Amino acid sequence: MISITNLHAGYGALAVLFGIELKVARGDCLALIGANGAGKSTLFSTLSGLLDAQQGDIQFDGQSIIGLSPVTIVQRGLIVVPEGRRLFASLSVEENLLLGKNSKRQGNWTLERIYDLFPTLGPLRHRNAMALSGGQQQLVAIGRALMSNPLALLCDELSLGLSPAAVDVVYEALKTIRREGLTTIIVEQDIGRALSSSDNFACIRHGQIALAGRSDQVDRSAISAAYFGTH
Amino acid sequence: MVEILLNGIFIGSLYALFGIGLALTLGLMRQINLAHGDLIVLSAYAALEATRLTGLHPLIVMPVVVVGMYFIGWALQRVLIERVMGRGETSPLLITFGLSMVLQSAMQLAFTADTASLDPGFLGPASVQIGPLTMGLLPIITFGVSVGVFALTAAVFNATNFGRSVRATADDARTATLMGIDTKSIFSTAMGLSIAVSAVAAIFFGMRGTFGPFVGGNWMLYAFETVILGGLGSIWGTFAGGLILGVSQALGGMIQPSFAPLLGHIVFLVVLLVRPRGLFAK
Amino acid sequence: MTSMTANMNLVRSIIFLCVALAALAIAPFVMPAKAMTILIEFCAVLALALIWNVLAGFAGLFLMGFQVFIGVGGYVLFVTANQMGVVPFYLLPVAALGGGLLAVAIAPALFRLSGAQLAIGSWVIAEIVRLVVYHTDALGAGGGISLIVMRIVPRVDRLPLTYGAAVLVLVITLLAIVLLMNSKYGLALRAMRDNEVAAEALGVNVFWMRMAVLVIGGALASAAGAAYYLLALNISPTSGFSINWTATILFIVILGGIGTVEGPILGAIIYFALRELLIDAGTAYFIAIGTLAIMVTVFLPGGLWGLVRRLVPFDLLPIRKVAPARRT
Ligand SMILES: Nc1ncnc2c1ncn2[C@@H]1O[C@H](COP(=O)(O)OP(=O)(O)OP(=O)(O)O)[C@@H](O)[C@H]1O
Ligand SMILES: [Mg+2]
Repeated sequence: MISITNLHAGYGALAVLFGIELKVARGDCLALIGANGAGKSTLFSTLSGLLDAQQGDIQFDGQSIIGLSPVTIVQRGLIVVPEGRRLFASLSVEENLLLGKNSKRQGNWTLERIYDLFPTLGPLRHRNAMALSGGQQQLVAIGRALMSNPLALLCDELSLGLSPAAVDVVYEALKTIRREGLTTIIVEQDIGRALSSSDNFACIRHGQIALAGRSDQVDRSAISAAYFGTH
Repeated sequence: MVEILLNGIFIGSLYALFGIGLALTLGLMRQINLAHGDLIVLSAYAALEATRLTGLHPLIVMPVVVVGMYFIGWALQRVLIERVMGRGETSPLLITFGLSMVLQSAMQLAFTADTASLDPGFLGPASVQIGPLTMGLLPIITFGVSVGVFALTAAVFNATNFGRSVRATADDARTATLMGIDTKSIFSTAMGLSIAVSAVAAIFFGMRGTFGPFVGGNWMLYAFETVILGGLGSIWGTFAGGLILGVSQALGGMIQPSFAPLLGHIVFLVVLLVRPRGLFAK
Repeated sequence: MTSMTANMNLVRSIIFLCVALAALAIAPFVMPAKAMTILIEFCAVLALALIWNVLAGFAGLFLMGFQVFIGVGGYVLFVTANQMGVVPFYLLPVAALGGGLLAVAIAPALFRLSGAQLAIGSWVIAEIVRLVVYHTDALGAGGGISLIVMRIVPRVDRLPLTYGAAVLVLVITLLAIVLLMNSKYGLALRAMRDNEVAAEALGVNVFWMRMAVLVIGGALASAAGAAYYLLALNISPTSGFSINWTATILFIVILGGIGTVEGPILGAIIYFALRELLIDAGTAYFIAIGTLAIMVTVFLPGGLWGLVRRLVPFDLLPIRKVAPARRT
């Protein structure tokens, strides 16, 4: 579904990604882990077209998406749930969700299905999005992305700043979403959580994939070596 | 006295239309088009030429002028302003400053520096009797059209996908892009609408008063004052801001005609000092 | 090392200023009267452009209503000189005082706005002042006033003295800018230009910085405006508070390059050359320079000086690029 080869990207003169190699099969969930500043968000920005790749290729659903605009990439079915949720402050919950419809992709996500998936949101639908708790906001952010009927959902820092109970709700929702056949990549600081909710993992360090494999057959010490760069 | 106030309200409803266009681009892109007033004047001249060529009433040629001005605004954003977006607030000001200079001089070349006006035809003398008051038909239509445009704007803003996308882009353009909103097209559409709505006002203005190649600067100031008086981000606040400005000018004009703009400016300044976020900000 | 470069910078600036000053000092002996009047105007307008550029390019004060300082400077000079019956050249400091006080008076309203809104807000303020003057009989109302006291100055001395006044204002302005930019406040100003919030976080008091720059800039601008009107001998609300003043200044700064000190100098030279060359073009001239302003903004964001700098990497009036060494 997603196949990244030798990807280089950065901000102006600052190079951040150096030859990323990554494959995610259709319907799989990949956990992307790595220390602060490793380049996870930068990888997402490059995938979403906000940031131009300097070198390398990204294949999505059988076609290269290098050089496409963010709008076109959303239309192709790849969408990012950004770090920090970034809901629109002057829109209500429901209006935030409806914005996802801009992709004009056909699919079966509707407002009703989002409210079924996240029952807590139903009664809050006309509230201002910023008046919600962090956990509720994260659900709106996921719902907003789903409304674009994506093939792949990329979630940056899903549990950042959420209470343990809220994190449980978010991951419960992720399970349901995965049953729809969506391909997902999640960035998660809690490595245990990341591994238990994914099929595969990749650990990124200094802009390169330091370690990758199946989430259920992983050596903890190898992970910590890849994560912190110790031997 | 009542007549003067009514006249102020009528002019104010036109300032409100000047203002709503400016408010749209200011809220969305945090930039002010220094040529906003000159483009309004250009619409009035365009209507003048169209009526001369076809012999039709200004209100009949209005749709053509409005659509034409929409595309001029759209192109201004696409061809010029878009190139400097992201370089800070200064560059759009500099570009539209240059454009203002070009437009004023070009209009002076094409139409001389004399003032002009649009012939309202039968609407000029037509009036209606409401109770003890005799009111001109033209001011009533003007006010009605302004209210209509504001109602439409509010509806589009609150209840359409375009309106939602504009608000989302104004909040956070980068995330809007991530959600698949084509923000560049939102910007250019908004700039087109900004000028198109003002063109409606320009034609009504031209039927009632006079205009010349150099009044654009003042019109831009009135549009700006309207927006700040009402409070940026509030659609009906802008409408009220226009009325307040119109009435202030009318009252100033009562003292002495040349006092009209002065009193308007002073009311603006006082509101700015007392309620910097405007009278009707949410 | 750091202070060495800073000193070198200052020395270079001073050498440049001395050369320029020498040229300006010789000018009155070799130039015809017509050229002298243009040169007087040049000095006044260049000083104004330099000030506007510091306000907009460094302090975030993009003033579309900058003309208010020019008009007030002229009026203060004319009224005080006529009233007191003294040689008007001595009263330039009074004009500067007027400009400084004006800056203090308008700051509360101005600082409620920022960016593009501040730009237009200042224009409204300038219009208010213009209209108030227009309706004040004591200031000659719409007709304006003449500098009648100039009669006490012998005719032959008028032009050289006016020239001297304009050069003096220009030199003081240049010195003020070079010194300001090479002081610790210059660093704060550049930090503000790059990122106001970050500057505030680093302990720059943005409000007072801005206030100080506005007051000094306003005072100098009023002095420059007064110097110009010493030449014109007549001031009216329509001329003194005309938006065309700001338009001219903006054009000079755009052309030369906003946010540099050399930019306005180059811009002013080109502006005056263009104006004298195209004097017969009439309205087409404004279309041409408007188009030029648009083109330069879009395609040459650093202005012509930016282009020159890319070809010849050399500053005439360097402003310190290196942060002062941090004490540990
Ligand atoms: N907009 C930007 N401009 C310049 N540099 C940036 C920008 N965003 C990130 N960087 C730099 O790129 C590097 C990688 O940042 P990135 O945000 O991708 O890390 P991350 O893995 O997502 O970290 P975190 O876990 O803290 O979110 C960092 O060194 C950061 O300073
Ligand atoms: Mg990140």
